Amino acid sequence: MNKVLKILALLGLLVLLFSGCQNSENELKNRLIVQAIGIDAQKDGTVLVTLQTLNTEMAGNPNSGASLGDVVTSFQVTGKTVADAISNAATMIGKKPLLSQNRLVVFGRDTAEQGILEHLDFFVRDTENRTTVLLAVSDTTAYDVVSAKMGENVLTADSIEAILHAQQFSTDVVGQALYSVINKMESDTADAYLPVLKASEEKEDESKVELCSVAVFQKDKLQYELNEEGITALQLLTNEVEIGYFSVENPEYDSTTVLKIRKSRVKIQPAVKNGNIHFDIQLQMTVDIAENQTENPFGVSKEFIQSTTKCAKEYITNLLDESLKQSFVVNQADPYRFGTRFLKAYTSYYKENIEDWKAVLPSVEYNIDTQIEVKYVGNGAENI
Amino acid sequence: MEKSTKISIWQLFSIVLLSRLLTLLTYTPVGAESLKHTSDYFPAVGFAVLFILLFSLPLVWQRKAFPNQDLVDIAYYASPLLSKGTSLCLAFFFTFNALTTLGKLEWFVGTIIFPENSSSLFVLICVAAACYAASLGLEAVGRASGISLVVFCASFIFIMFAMADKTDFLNFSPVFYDGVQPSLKAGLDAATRTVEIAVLSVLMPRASGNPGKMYTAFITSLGGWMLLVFFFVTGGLGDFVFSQLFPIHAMAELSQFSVFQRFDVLLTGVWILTAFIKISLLLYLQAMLLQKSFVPKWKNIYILVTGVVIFLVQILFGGVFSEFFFGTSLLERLIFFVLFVVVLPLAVLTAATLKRKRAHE
Repeated sequence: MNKVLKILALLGLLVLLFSGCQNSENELKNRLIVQAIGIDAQKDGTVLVTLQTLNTEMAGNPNSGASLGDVVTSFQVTGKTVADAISNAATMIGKKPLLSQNRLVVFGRDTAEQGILEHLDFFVRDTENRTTVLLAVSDTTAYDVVSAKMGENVLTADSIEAILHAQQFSTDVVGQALYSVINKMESDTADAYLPVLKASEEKEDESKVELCSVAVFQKDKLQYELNEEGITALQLLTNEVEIGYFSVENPEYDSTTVLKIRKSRVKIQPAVKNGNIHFDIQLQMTVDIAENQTENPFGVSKEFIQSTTKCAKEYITNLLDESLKQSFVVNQADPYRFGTRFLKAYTSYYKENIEDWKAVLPSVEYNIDTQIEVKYVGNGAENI
Repeated sequence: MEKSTKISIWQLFSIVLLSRLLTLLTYTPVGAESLKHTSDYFPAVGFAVLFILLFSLPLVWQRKAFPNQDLVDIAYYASPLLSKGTSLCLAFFFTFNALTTLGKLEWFVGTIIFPENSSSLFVLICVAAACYAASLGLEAVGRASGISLVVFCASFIFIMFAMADKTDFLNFSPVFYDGVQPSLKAGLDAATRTVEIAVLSVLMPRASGNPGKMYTAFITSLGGWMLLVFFFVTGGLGDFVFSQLFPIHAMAELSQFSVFQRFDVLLTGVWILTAFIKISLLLYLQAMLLQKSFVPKWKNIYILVTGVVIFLVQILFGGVFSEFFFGTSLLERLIFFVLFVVVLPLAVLTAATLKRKRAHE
């Protein structure tokens, strides 16, 4: 009897637990599966939100042969705020948006210049959004990037996410997740940065989306942009480089050598010297020769390696120096989190002497010590 | 269903550690005593351990002076009326903590799992399952705790492993940036959430083994877990932690590697399992205490009635118990905690010691 009661109780529990299936609006095919969100603030104070959503009919039956449309569709909705616009999408399409699968949030350039923090509140507050969602700025409008079609059956958001994750093997790419951006925006000693994406039409109905620069923010407003070399310096100074390539001109041998970074570690040591804030930057890099373009490219001598290493050192040192000058002196910005390091090491000094870290930046001194070691030269090492 | 009255000391260890780890899981930086700088969490853990040790002094006295008796038995030695009063006080304290645990679980579920639906059904199922588990007795709760502790440790080791490369030392602020006081207050705040001291005062005589060793293992494991969890939470999330209602869940979202992308779902499962065990334990304890001092046969009735009460209170006045965590000042919470965990045992122990002294004379 007891056993029967237990079985009945369990069956009753199952009935209760499966009651969620009663709500057909929660079924996957009836949800608006958002893949990317574009945000363009309008002059009248409203927000134009572009949603890139998965075409569930097509995604579920890719080989059906029927004309089910593209794998992703995009449409625009307007609202007073981001949340308001997204809720308007539900009434427009008749499907409930599902944000937990969202991979990307893109801000239009104008919006980024006006400030993005107010638009980020929704992504922090609403628990359906993931803290790891990637953020980016569009070179033009967010609509251009989010509505770009990169080819038949290509998930645009997926491709852009892959581009931004290429940071793992390129020094020219920066990917920034929501939590990381908020961390820097809320900090007094660091500045946030976001990749800038550019959508350009390649063929009819097919666009290309690529990373064109990195935007550095002053608090939450876009301030200036880093070019390719600036991005490399940013990656090196924030210890984000895993694999990357750079090329070095060697006038002595009239050669151009492409070096592959195997390992790069930077140590930044803050100090106060003669009343001035000083940083000792020690960069240790191990590289391989990936390609050598000279009259005789295959054989490399010890002297050539020494000479190329010297050129590489100069190149990297100049690269870091120029980037630091551009950030500290020209823009009074600190995307490298030098201020955070200084605050940790000299807390009392910071509290007593520094009111605004950004104001101090132009007078900051630094010394760059670059150590580069060539590890492998590949084939054609006959003279070593 | 209860076949044995004694559990092993390591089952008791699993019960109290798991119960306290749930409080750690539901940690939220929102509230009066929240910290503002990430590195202040580490000294706060040290202070918390010190305060827990301090609040455990009556427990040490109890163990030394009355080694095989729980607080109600000791009170009975002093006076049967005192014993009834102690039972009622502790039963109220455990029921209140069952309510706050359920309140926080419902809040987590309502925020993270079912943000758009009512979580009443979930609360009902959770309370019903906890009542059933409590009716099976301490041994069943002890066994479930042992298994759950292994699951808890395994899932957290996965999460921490996945967090290893996401931890950035720049995310740690300078220690004591605003002085010692915030860490001290946060430590005291954490200590006032350690209901397990009262649990031990009731359950220690029910466990066979060396309670001293068990307590040392409990306090060391608790301190270690707190340090590890806060290390990865603050090192991974940085100041973002202060914007999160459930930072440990946010850390689980961040901890992803290779094809393993949703550790937060794993954590959610562990969270619910741990909360279920804690609520079962607290329901069992209040029933056991009332059983001792009032009608011994009514164990299941006490469990059922309290289960219905906590369900109804949660459904009708759920916010009140969530408010307890956020609206109440540290001083008020401290007074409430000290009253039940320090003053009550001290009063009982003093009365019993005096009576024993008089009897010897």
